[in-house]
Amino acid sequence: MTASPAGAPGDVLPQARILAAATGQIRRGGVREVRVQAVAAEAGVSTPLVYHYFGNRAGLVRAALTAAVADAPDPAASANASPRERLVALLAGGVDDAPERREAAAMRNELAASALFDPELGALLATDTARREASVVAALRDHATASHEGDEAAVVARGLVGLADGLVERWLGGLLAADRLRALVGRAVDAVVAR
Amino acid sequence: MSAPAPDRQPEGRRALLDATAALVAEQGVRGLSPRAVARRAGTTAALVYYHFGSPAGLVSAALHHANEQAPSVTRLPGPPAGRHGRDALVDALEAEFDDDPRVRSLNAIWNEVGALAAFEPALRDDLRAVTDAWKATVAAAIRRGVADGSVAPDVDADEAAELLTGAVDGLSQRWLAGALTADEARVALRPLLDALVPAG
Repeated sequence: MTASPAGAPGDVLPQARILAAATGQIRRGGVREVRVQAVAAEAGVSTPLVYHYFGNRAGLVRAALTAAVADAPDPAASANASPRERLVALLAGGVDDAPERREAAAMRNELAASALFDPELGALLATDTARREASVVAALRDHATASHEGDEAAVVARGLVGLADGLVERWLGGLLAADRLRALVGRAVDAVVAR
Repeated sequence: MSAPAPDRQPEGRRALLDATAALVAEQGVRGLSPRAVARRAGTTAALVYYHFGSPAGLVSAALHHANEQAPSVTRLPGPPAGRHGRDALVDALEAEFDDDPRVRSLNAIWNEVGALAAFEPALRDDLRAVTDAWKATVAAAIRRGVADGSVAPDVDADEAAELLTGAVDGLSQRWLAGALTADEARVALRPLLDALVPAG
């Protein structure tokens, strides 16, 4: 979501401005720091208008996270990548110290962490995770040495996506370097595939 | 710092940490205050400040408490005689996924602080300390398994511990959010255990 070149608030619909302001607040401070009043001020609207469009603070957070996850592109490997490279790219390819990659990973992590307190976010997390697991299942199938079948591949994919997300959180928290994370995910893929 | 009466202080402190964990599990770190913790524990905010100094000190202490009480830590000081190290490791890691409210709230603290650290560098030292302690405990358990022959000898214990604790963190997030049942989380951990810590 970008502001118009003129930057005049009137050029962008108020809903879009509110959503952009809320998304910016989540990016900067996480879901916990979202304040409806501050969002309204940043969007140049009144607080009641925010409530009019989004119901309450939880509705606003939900809308911002939903849009962020929907907009985040799946990390893609290059066309001639090996099945292993594609698996690692799917699991950890989004991990990059480039700001936009970091933001996308941070938004997904905020979704996962906030879902604990909002069943609707839990449902969104489940849907998004299932989609990513399905991509990993497909990539596992292409991996010549992987021999997981049916339900087993789904369970392996679930474990790998969980492992990668756990490590991504450590990367976001400054506990793990991006290249170390990719190496670790590669090791997990090799170990699981070799079995 | 004067030493409070040894027979009473730890219990009072522990009750406050349990109250903190329960509150965080219900509503997150947002809104957590010494006053809310005091109300939950049936004591005064002054006592909370006495033990923890500040709201930040409370979060930090709760995180260390969550690490010390985590099933995968308390169950791993050493396998009972006659048991294989690998079985003890599997049991301990699987025990993290437990719908018992106490275990849930310990996991919720990790979950919250882990996510918060992306935005609050001040939390990183605490998070790194507990994460390193947890990884070291798990790595030591893997080495015991290697020593007793229940784990394959060529396993890189430190790397496997880093990966397995990461997997528990990631799956725990989904389980706490209701996107996975505790059982599904345990099942998803199995192939990783088999691959990263193969039986000897």
